[in-house]
Amino acid sequence: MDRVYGGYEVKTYEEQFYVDAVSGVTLEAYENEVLGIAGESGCGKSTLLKIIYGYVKPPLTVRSGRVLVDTGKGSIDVLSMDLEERRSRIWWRYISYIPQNAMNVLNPTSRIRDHFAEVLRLHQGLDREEAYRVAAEYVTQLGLPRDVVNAFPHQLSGGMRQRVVIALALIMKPRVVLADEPTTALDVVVQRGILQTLIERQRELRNTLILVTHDMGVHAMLTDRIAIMYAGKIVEIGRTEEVFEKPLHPYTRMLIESLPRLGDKRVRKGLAGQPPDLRSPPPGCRFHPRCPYTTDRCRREEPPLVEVEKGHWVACWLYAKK
Amino acid sequence: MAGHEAGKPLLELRGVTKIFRYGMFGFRFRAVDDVNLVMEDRPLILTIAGESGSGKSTLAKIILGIHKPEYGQVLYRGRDIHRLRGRELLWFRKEVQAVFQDPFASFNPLKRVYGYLYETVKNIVGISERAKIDAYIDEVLRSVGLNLDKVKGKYPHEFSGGELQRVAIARALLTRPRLIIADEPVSMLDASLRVNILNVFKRIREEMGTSFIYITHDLATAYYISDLIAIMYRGSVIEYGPIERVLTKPLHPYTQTLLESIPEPDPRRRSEWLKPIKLSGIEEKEFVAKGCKFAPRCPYATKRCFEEPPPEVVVNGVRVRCWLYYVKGSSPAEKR
Repeated sequence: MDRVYGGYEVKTYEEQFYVDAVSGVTLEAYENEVLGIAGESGCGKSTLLKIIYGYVKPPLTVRSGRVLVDTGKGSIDVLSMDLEERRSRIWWRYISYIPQNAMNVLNPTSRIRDHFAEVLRLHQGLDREEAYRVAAEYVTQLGLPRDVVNAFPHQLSGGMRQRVVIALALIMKPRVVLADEPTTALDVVVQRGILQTLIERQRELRNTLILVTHDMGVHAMLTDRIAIMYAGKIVEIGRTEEVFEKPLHPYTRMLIESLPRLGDKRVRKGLAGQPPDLRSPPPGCRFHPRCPYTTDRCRREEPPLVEVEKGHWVACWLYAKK
Repeated sequence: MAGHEAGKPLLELRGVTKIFRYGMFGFRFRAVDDVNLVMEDRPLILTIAGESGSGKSTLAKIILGIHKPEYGQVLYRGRDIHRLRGRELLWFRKEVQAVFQDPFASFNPLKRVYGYLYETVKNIVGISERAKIDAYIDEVLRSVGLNLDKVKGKYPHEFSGGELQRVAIARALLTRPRLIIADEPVSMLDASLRVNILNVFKRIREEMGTSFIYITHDLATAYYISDLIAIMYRGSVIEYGPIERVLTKPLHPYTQTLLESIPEPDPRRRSEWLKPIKLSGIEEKEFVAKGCKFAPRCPYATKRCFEEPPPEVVVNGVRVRCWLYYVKGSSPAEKR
């Protein structure tokens, strides 16, 4: 079982302020599961993913907390290692990361096969010829045309490049795959194809996929469980169907209700106000300035994450045990 | 505002074609290919929808007079907008306004946003007394949920994206336009705030009788606010009609594929959405294809689809460009 467990605080220096982007987050992701992290721009979801990957470079810092990954021979704390160690021991093999705009991470001057060869050489010690052969075979297995490996990145469409990056990230059969908005810049038809590839691989490898996107539609189509983030904190987590059918947190409820749907012209209301500035987040519940149910307690005390129904947790005073 | 004249359409596009040269390969392609559209002169919201590269933004720029088409005409209330000069051009600029995707790119960051509003009123609307200008600006700002006190003295970065987009809409409204062209006006905003801006559009349409052309790739928001929709694919409008009909009973195979691929916020649709689909990698070729540009991906494609461009056929008030609906001798291909 893979367990990712951490409490984080992140620090960004710029004129001496601290952006509290990931604030005491605790969560677990299980083997053979797709865990979604949802939230709107600036809620800290991408930062959280970077920390889980251990890609912590200034101005990003972690003030405290652990990220534990089960390697099959006991668990290791990603954050206790230095970057070099993460690179050689953890990345690709145990955790892979598909960054935002991943299609632009390919080196424009080398062919696709050389991208594969580098990974295979580093992690499996294959020589060039052998690596080329393995790469070509692997790519066809994933349903991509065989000559993709001989192309330069610019010769491929955005969607195809994205599939190549995903293929690269998965080649070492990592136990945990982190994907940050993997299809945001793509057309819906292409997006559908790519997400289908991603989920097929996950089912085949029975590993953990942590998918960050602001697109609630993508969560509804792919994830087993979903965590909703607001202003650096997880406010709700539960089985995806349950969260969509019976959202508990007022933020989740308003978020889901604000989404226009095809075939439904009923008037919808968006949220009032803006998310808080994370340099000085509001005390108590961070949603309280925008919440219609705010009480004095919400302004003073932070609500704990409580389990309301089995596996369905929410951080809101409306549900805290009296 | 002057009453809407009966009969004459507000906007008419006749065979509009824009050719771009593809620099590196040196070949020419039609970014907009023989587009015909008619928009009646009554308060309507028309969506032009399509994926990136479908030509929808180019079409918007043609309608605004920014791009000149190689072939065809754009008639605004009967006048060819690319031939307007002097006074008539000023009249057109008053009548047709634009709102763009990124409000932060629409305003100079070093200039207070009030300046834009003030200049528009003074130079284009023609009010000269300061107090009257402010009163007018305040009135218009209120129609988008803001007011003068919230805006005066502030620079663009002091607003959130949603607020600044409201200011941009207010600026467009100052000239009392009859038509606003909004190119992806909410795609930079968070989902929970988008619907607020869309509601502003709806209210302006109802209260001021303004028509909108809403350009987007997001069919769910299109459905929410529009009356009509034109679906574009590789430069052509392949389906055009009342939005309820087009999006609930799509005729064109491309519209069908598009609708099936939208990830909807409803987990019950999951198993259907996960059914495997076929993708193409050769996008440039589709632009220069001889017949129907969707044919290489279409499950119903026949030999004819690859050879001849499909005619426009009218089915139940919806215009569709597809050989599937063509019956010999019936509703003829028009204006070709």
